[in-house]
Order: sequence, then structure tokens, then C-alpha cells
Amino acid sequence: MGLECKKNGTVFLFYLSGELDHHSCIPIREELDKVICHYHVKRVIFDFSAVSFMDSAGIGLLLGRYREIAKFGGKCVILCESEKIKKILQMGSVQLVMPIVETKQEAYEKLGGTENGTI
Amino acid sequence: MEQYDNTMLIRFPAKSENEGLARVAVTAFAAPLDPTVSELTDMKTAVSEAVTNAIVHGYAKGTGDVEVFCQRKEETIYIMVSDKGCGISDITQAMEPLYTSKPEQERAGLGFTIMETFMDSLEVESKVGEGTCVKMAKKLSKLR
Repeated sequence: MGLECKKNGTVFLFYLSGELDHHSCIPIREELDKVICHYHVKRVIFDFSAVSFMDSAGIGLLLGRYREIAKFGGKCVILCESEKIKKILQMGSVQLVMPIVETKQEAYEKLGGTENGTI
Repeated sequence: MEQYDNTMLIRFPAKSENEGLARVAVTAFAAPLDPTVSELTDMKTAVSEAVTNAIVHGYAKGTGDVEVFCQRKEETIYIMVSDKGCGISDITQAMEPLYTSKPEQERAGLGFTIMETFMDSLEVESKVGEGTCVKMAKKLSKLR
């Protein structure tokens, strides 16, 4: 399981990769919380394009980070094409607080900007 | 005694790194039936939830082993995940969607719901102080 963080203007991109379960969520949660707290992250794209497997631990991870980001009035979007992962996220009602989109362009639009000229 | 085409028993200590091991083992066990990617993901997800439950809840206080027992008969895969942990006092409540005894650990409370959704059948047997056994089955499609 991997995590890569990038910044594009005011948007933070969190690229997750590999298998996301209870075990792999532990170090990822720590790393994300450090970045979110340090930069007061307000606009986030969680990119699931390279996630090969996810169970319900992913729901906890996302909703927990959302709560942190929402404290600063932030917004999150999930970029995910996998039908299985989307189904699991929807079972956890994640889409009620974070839109789930299939393209980067849509993700930036949901955050109120574009990929080349972010907010 | 019912004859199975194949069986597999793996036992490992309740360490979270073994969640991945259990998924890989079940995937390999089902492979001769040539399941679809979707069927494999369903089984992997259900096993992951059951094993995580055993580790996080069954052995919340203390340590022990988790067993994953798989059987195959024709197109059906039977999976049993058991622990000798603390057991569940109220199975009905534990199986309610969104119920979790560990919200502070960011558990979504969807483990059993996911097992039920992704498998064809789910049975949970548990005794407080003795442990929990989760039995699941999935019939794989013949059309591939």
C-alpha cells in the first residue's frame, strides 16, 4: 500500500495505491493526518485510481480524514473508477459528504476550479 | 460424511498483517474454478472483513490464532473464519449495519453487511468467552 501527496495550486492530491485494509490504513492515516494538520488542507482529491483492493477500513479512513478537513471548512472529492470500491464507499454513505467522480476534470470542478488553473 | 473436492486450513496469529495473507490464500484456493474478477473481489472483501473482525474485536484484549477453513464442492466455495477470542454477546446487534463497538478506531460498522452483500450466505455463531465462527458460501457462475 502506498501514499503519495502532491499539491496543485490550493488543491492537495492524495494518491493511494495497492490494497487498502485495516492493516495498511494505520500508517496511511498517520501520514495523512500529519499533512492535513500541517498545511491546514482545505481542498482534497483522494485518488483511488491505483487502489487494487479496499474493504470497509477505507470508509473509516475517508470519513475520519473528512472530519479533520471539514474542521477548517474544507472539501474533499474521491476520484474512483472501480465499481466494487464505489459500491463499498456507497454502503458507508461516503458520497453524502464527498462526491465520487470518475475523472480528474470532474474532481477539480467539484472543488470549484480546473486542473490547469486551480482556484 | 460429505465429500468435498478440496479443502484448505490456514491458521495464523491475530496480527493485522495477516489480513492480506488470508485474502491471498482464499484467492489461490478458488483459482482452479476460474472465478471472475468480480467474484474473487467479493470473496476477498468478505474474508478481509471476517479476519479483521477476529483480530480487532475477537482478540481486542489478548492474543490468539485465527483459522480460515475453506472447502470446495463443485462450483461452491465455503469459507469459515474462526477465532477463540472474546465472543459476541448480542449477534443481532453486531450484525446491524453501521453498528460498531469501536467507533474510536474508525470502524465503519459494515463488516457483516459487506459479508452478507458479497457472499450468497452468512452464518455467525458465537459464545462469550469462547470465540466466534463466521460461515460464508458463494456459488461461482458457470458462464465464463
